[in-house]
Amino acid sequence: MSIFYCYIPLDAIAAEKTARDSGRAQSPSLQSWEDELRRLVAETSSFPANESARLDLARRLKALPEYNIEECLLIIGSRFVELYLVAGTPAPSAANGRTATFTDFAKSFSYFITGSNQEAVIQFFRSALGWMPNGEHDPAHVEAFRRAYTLASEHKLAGLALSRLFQRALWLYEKVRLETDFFRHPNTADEVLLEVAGKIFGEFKERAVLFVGSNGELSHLVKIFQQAGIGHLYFALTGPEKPEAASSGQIINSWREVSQLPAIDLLLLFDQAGRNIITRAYLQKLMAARHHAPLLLADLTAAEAKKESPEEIAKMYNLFYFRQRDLEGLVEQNAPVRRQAEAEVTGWIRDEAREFYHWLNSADRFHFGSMVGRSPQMQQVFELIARIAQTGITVIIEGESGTGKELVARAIHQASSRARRPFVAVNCGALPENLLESELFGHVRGAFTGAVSNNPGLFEQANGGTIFLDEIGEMSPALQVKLLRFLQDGEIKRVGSNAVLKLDVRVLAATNRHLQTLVHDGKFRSDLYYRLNVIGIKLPPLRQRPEDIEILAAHFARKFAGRMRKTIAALLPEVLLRLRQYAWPGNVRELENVMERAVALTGNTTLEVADLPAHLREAASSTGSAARLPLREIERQYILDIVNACNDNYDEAAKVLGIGRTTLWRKLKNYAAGNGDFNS
Amino acid sequence: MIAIHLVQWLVVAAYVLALVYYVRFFRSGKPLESARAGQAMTLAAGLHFFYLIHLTVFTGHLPVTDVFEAITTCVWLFGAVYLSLEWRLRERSLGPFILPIIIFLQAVSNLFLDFSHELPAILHNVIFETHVLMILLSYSAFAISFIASLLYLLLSRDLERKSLGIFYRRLPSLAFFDSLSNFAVNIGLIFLTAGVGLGIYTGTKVSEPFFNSVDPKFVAVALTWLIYVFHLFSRRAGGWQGKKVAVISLFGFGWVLFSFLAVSLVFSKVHQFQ
Repeated sequence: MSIFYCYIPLDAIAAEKTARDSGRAQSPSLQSWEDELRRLVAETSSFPANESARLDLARRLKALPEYNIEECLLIIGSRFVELYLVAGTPAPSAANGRTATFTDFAKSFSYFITGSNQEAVIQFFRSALGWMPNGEHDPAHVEAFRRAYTLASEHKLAGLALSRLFQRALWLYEKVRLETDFFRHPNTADEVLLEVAGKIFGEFKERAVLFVGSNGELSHLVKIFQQAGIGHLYFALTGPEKPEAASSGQIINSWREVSQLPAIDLLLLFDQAGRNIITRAYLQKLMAARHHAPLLLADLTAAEAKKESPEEIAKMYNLFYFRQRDLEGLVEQNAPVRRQAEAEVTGWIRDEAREFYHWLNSADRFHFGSMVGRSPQMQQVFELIARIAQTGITVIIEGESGTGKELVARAIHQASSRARRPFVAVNCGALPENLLESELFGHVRGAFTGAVSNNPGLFEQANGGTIFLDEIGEMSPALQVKLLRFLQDGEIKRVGSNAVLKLDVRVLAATNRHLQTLVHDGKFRSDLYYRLNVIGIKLPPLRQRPEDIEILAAHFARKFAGRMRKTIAALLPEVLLRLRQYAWPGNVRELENVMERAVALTGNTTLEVADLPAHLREAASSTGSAARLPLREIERQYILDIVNACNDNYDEAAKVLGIGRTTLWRKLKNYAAGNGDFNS
Repeated sequence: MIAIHLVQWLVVAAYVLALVYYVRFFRSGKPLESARAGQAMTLAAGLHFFYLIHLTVFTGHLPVTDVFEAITTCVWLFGAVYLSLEWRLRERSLGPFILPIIIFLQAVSNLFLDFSHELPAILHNVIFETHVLMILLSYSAFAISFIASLLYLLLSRDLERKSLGIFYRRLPSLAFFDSLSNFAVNIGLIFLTAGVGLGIYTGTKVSEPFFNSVDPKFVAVALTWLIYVFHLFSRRAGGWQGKKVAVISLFGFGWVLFSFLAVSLVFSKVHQFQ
């Protein structure tokens, strides 16, 4: 699996489009996916703001024929397009037998800036922070990024990889916002001006700003002040035409009107014409009328003033006077702090990227059987599996019935070097003791009545591979001894034989009962327990990881829809609500059955509440099945739930929970520390 | 005895700890450290409250009867007023400036507090205690105004110099300090007026005619009252804002400190009743 990233300035797209329209493009044929992608990207410039067209483009990207693109995210900012593609194995091109790779394409496209994987992931995080490739910070980009992700995930264009990246990116954003100065330092003279104004006036709601001069470059500043929520905008324009930006405020036509304006808090001069209007006499009059309330006068002209400067007045009154070069000087003063914060953030991003890359690779190589899970607990399980698979040690998998213990065992087997050798699963609870013994260890002819031939046991069948002993707690003490012997010496004897067989089998055991209690009660040998329990994997019950329910339900719906040749486009929110509220005593297996039933019953392309079993339909009102938990745990689950429901929008989650964003962050940090999932 | 000495210095230690957290937060500006500072301050104020109760039980009267008792009560009120402001305004940048005052005054009180002084009968009554509490509350409010004005001037200076000093980085806006200072003066004036009124009422109960002797404390408080009334009027009627008003507030609190310490120390008794 690879992640590709490209950054395309819109002017490059426009150039591409012109070239295509004028027939200068190299290949008009659309046979290869590269051409298709090229065509799609070229069309992008015609609809940069249209969400549905953007979505359509993303869908077509995903449907590119000759490359197996699994997830995609398309961000369209004000001046550029960003594209993230998560791709599986490349399909061989039908035309020439050549395997098309994205990197080929990247090379052929002059404005692609990065190839794949680690770099792309780093760029993803930077993008989430609004940190543009040219080093600028663009808060609007953060918004565009989040919107793009919401859109992508709503339409199933973002899968596990992008979801995880996005989750991590939001986490990082919060960390950067609360623990560094990264977002606190304005980067341009205009932003510094806004900050200075904020330091003087606090809130802008009641404040009035007057722009004085010819039309100049005021649209950006006007936008900045409007975003800050300034109360009144006035324009005293000396130029011939009225710029569009001025329509947002009141245009002052004559000098008399300027002098009659009630209360101006900010005066922004754009050029010499503006300087001529704002005379010393006028300032004196204005300051006197304001009773020396602070006034911010900013001279945004690049050239130095010829005549008297308002500095003297500034000294006499409560007037703050900033020239363009003062503002630029402030940006310069910010630079070291900003560089320091940027270096810190870069380090964090690199860590995140490395960790993600690791996760991606392991997920890619091992697939973790058919397990799906986005909850921190399951991610932790996946990581543990990836780490221990190669080691060959015995593992005990603990978890309630239906949590997928066998899937974990299979995943471990698949991820190990034994993957090509047999995997044998035995349920120790399903067979009576004697039968189980001969099943496991085999028997020789005449060992007991009915033993008509030599029969190799499951251990022998699993030689070189893995044996999975489910419900190990049900094993009789006699068998436990035999198993212990095998674990210690790697030797077994068939029933009725004295010959010792040396075998190489990895043992994975599972139990849905608390083994330690059984040991304590004397029902399970303690020496076997300690021999088995080198590594324990605990599978959390489904009710403790509600964030997995949605993704599992979607997974099963897709699976059964494919099997039953139906199309399931979506699960209704009410269905998900019911699923989330139910306590799932039968865990994932129960969910699987519920989804199978629902898919079988539905006559629609959407699953509805009516398709659910009766006890689930009513679950919304009953809370009786809920487990009894300590308050702290309930709080934890609820908070994680809300955060999840808000799509990791911490701002919104804090609002819903009615706590401060800092408090939420501290709590999440504590949970993360407890989980060991987020390295913060 | 030992216990109460231990507690009174523990209070100082708690305030010092809070100061450390506040300074750290002020320097880094990280929201996570802000919460810790607030917790430390709350803890210190809680401990101080416990100390005041202890003191009351120990001496048998509210700790307002001599100047050092009054100081510690005043310091606590000041801390409590500040904490409530902090909670209300969600702004912790004043802490590093307020805590040194608190620590200094509390240490002075600890050093000179005399647990076994004789108490004139007149001082042992509810109206008198209310009178002192009111005046002390008003002083706390004036102290807040003082800090706010000081920070107003510091921030203003950073802005004029066009340099990104620590004040520019960490402080909220001039408008914030202006309105905070004014708000505190208004509240302070209300308490001071009520306190002086109660004082005059108590004074008339004293056997000798109260206004025959010139009571230095009364004169000092009356002057304080005049300064802050001037502050109020300069804003309301004169429309003054910003720096000018800030300077008046600085001057006013300077006078409060001077009169509170100097007048009380020079004239050993609380009031010159003879």
